[in-house]
Amino acid sequence: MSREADMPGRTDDQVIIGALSQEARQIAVEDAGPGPTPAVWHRLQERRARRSRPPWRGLLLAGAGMAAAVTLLVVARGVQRARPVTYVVEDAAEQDGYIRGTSNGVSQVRFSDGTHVDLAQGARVSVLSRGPRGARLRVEEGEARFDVVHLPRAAWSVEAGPYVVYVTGTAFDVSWSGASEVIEVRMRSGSVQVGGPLLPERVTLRAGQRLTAKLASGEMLIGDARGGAGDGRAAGEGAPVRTPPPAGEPAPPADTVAPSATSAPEVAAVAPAPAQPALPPSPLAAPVPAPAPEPPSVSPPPAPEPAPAAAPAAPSPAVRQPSIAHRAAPRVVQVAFAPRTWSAITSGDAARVVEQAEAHGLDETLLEVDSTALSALADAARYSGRPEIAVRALTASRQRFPKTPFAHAAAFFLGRLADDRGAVAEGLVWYRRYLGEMPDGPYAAEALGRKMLAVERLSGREASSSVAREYVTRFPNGTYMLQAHAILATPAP
Amino acid sequence: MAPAAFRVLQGQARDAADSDVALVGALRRGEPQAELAAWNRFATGVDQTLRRLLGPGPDREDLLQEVFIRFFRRIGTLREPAAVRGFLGGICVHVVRAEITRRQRRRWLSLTPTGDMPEPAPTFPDLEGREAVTRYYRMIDKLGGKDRSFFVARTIEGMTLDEVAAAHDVSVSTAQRRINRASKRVAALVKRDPMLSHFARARAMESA
Repeated sequence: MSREADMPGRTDDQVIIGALSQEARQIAVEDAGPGPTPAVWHRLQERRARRSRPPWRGLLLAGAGMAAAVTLLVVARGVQRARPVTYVVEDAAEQDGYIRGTSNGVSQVRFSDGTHVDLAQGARVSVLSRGPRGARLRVEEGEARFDVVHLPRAAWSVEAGPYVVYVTGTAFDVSWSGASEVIEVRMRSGSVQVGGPLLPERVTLRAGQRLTAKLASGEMLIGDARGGAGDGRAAGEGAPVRTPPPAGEPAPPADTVAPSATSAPEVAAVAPAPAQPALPPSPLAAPVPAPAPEPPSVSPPPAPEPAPAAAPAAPSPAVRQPSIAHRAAPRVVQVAFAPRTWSAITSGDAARVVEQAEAHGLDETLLEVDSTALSALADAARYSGRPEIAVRALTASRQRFPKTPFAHAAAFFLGRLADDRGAVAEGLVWYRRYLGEMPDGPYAAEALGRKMLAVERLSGREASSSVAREYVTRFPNGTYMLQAHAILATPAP
Repeated sequence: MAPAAFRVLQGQARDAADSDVALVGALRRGEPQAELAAWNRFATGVDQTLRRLLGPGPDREDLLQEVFIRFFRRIGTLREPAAVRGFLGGICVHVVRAEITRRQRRRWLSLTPTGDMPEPAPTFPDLEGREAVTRYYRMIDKLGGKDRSFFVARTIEGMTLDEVAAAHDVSVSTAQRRINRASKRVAALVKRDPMLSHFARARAMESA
């Protein structure tokens, strides 16, 4: 019998269970942190409001005849909803949704709701899936011109490489070059949201704007679609990369974006763009397609991917992590730390990404892979509970790729990681740094809220009142409003 | 849906009730601010209780919300206002038990049901302890849903036998019997795991 079991009044089983339960309580206390945020309260209220709608109310109001009419209406709408939009192809070759534009440049796809897509010469487009309110299309190669009819609850999306353009009703052009991995979205009217690699959050593009992303070199430019080169700005240097506006609220006008002090040279990247140098030679690095001076038709065209049954998922109301590419580029060998790795991470396989990095050698990996891969590794490490690796990847991202969106976001995540492990002062430094670099960045609200709490913890409530005031002014519906008001409500001694 | 406009201040809400009993009274009378005051007072504790009952893992905001939805709905059934915290504990036990049952039904799913990315757990130096606790909960999860609930409520949450019995709506002797049975099984499982067994004995020695 063990010594513990000799303790008076306690059996060996009780000793073991008591010790482990005590440890469990301790871990629970450590994990709990500051407790639920006020945002949880707001969401609770919303949930209760939804539940509290009396289900019988409609029945009381509606008589039997009315109910029958409603039933008929529902059935009719159901039948209507079940009918997906149809399309016809003019002057183009089409097979099972895979459409190849002809050489005369007048190919067109016409949908039953009035939406039409014009294919540039040699362009290839796939209709991945169709629904009653729109379709999911993919620009396989080349340029396509979209005129999407704005109908209530229209749901269209256009994929190009790993990017997704979310559309309700607008006119825009999309070009994609698989060889050089360059996407360009040029707005003619309305607005769209674009998500994908190099974009920490979905970007809203408005009429007259153009987005160009070069995956190979990690360049992201958003500028004037009509003009020229002058106002293209690198995303990492203050380009108008912003979070999507809350549902039901209009997006801020384009001219509210603070102009960047530093202008980056415009990339006149219309596919096919010049090929970028390959990534550093790491066995884990993404294989970049070989430079392609020839038109992409030299290489076999990517096979159209099977169309899923469902339309793409609606955007999450509270996106906290960088956007994930929703679809990989034309399939290549699945390796770690390519943009394609996002799919491995989102499918819950983040641990495998970290394991691959460790197997290759963490030091080497941090030195060799590109900024996208570093960001992916940092996320994978955070998701798989390896904060020490996340810190290293984020630090490397800031050192090796300063002034990129990843580096700026890394400052925030470094702060959060420090904050979470109790290093409040260190966290505060990082929050300040992030807010200095990205005052209107996608994590600005979270960073300012956490900064406020950190100041309160380190220097007291009075010292944090100025931060609280700033928070209340800038983010009147922010998740730290309760704390901010509580700080401001405390009278000065 | 856009977040509701913020209307109440924490400081004001805190003044709405000075004690648990007064707060329960305010809730029953449907006074404005009372619910927010209850949230401010109990949310952190409920969150920690849920963590203890469930074990390490990502935040379960939905469970926290569910506890408070039930709490606000059933506050009128609370017989002894001073026992409001035990009342909340009982709701936590029920909510977690339902969650465990749901998890067991969906065990074949390896991914999160919603597809959301799990938030990373904060880092702490005591990695050994964290690993041990993770293993411990894994063993506890091998108990059936009912036994697990009794065991966790008693040993980890630290409820009294009376509280455990009340939370599960059984007699004290039934609660005791179930706890004993679960304890024997968990202890046997722990002893079969050398790392966990060694860790538990070492911790017991330290605290002795």
